[in-house]
Amino acid sequence: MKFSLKTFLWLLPLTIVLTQKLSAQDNNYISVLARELRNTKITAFQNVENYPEHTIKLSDLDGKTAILLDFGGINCRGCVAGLPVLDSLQKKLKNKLLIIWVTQNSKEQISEFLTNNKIGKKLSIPIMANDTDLYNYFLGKSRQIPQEVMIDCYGNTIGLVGGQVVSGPLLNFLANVRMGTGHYVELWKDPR
Amino acid sequence: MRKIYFLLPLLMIISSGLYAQIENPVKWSYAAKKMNQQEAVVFIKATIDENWHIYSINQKPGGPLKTSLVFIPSTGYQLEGKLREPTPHTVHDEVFDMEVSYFEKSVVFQQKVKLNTGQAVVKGKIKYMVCNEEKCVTPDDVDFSIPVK
Repeated sequence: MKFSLKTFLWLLPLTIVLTQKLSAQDNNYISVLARELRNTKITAFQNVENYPEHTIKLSDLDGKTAILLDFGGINCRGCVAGLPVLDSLQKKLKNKLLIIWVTQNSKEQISEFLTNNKIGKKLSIPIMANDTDLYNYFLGKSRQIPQEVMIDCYGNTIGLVGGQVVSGPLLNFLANVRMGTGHYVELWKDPR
Repeated sequence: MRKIYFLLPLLMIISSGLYAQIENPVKWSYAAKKMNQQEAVVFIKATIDENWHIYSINQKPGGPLKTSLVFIPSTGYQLEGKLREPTPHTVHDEVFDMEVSYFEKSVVFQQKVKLNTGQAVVKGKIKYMVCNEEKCVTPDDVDFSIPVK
């Protein structure tokens, strides 16, 4: 095969399209992370509002409940707008999945949000205030919110989903997660 | 053919590298205009990608993060008056249940400075949040250094 400028020009867009497709899959679907929460120093979720003891120990969840960490903040419109969907998802999944809204907002800001914001007033999911460890560990330099991290009931980090909270990829993702029962959960329908 | 084997991975690295970059929909640029030996105006411009927006410097708390500019004090200049911005778009936001003021496409912030020695370098930091309908990005603070000659 003779390699010419023509071949190069033909290959360039093809390669870009191919890698774009791979990259889009990473961003929008599941990029399986070979990181395990159990290998970190994180043993509990601290400063949790909307939760009786304000601390969720990972040891209490081990083998029982999968965790969905939704990274967001009260200043992010898209994050706040997605909360009612997560809340209804939590009610539907009850003990199989624990959804935690992870924020870097202060406790005072979260309390004010739960008291004054019309979406906040109706929320029942636990909300973590003042987080830095989980943000640094899971999101690294990416400062984009919302993003969701799924941890299965054995403490394995199994996926990171970016973008829309209520998007199809997240729901498909949940369909393939080992929940508290140790079985894969049947395909979810959009709770909306 | 060998060249193809060499070029393909190279092309893939180049094009995938483009997508590994952290998303930042705002570009900042700077300029200064000297009015006379004692006075100048510095201009700080945000060029914002389509469908994204940044918030007013006067955005009230309880909603999105306002844009803020902090100037580093210097013996070369003093700030004169407040930082100025054009009139933002203001809407009542249902999610925040409050008035939200923002800029799309581009915005120029202006600060008048008094020059102590006829020239100076105006330095500072920009903190901001950039959002679209679905998501927000809070990039690292942006340092600026604007020579006024």
